[in-house]
Amino acid sequence: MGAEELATAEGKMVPPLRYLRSALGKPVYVKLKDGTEYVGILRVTDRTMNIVLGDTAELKNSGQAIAARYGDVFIRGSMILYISFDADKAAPAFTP
Amino acid sequence: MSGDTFRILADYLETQVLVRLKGGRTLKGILKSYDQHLNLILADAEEVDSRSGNTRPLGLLMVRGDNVVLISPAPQQ
Repeated sequence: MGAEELATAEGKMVPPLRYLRSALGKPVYVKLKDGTEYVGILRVTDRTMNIVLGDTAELKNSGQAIAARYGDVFIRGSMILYISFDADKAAPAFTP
Repeated sequence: MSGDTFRILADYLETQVLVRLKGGRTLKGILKSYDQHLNLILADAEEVDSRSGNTRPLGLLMVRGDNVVLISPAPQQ
């Protein structure tokens, strides 16, 4: 089940990290604690929220412009502020 | 999960909440899930600019718990 289906499913609360796992292979928008923003395909996650993004773009101005392009980036979980599973809403112009 | 505080949080599930983060950011959304770290899932989330009051849509959002300062049920509109 994808993250969106988990959010609409009835019944027992699904833990946040399971939402993250359900977004594997899909585009996500990530904001770090220092304000840096990335959009990319979620490749790998773990229980400490470390993530690997593929086809990654670093953004600026609240998702309005590209600052740099990368292939894969490994992001340390403790640096994450939030992750949007609707990258097309958070950064419509640059979602891979 | 244990304790009276998390029971209060359970009452907020499926309702609109306001979440204040470290650094002065404010988020609004429907609380779908949480865990012992206060990691949150917010549906139809938006970030509220504290100066202008403008909002920016973020959709389905996971917030990392160590940034959370407060969670408050949003006033009913």
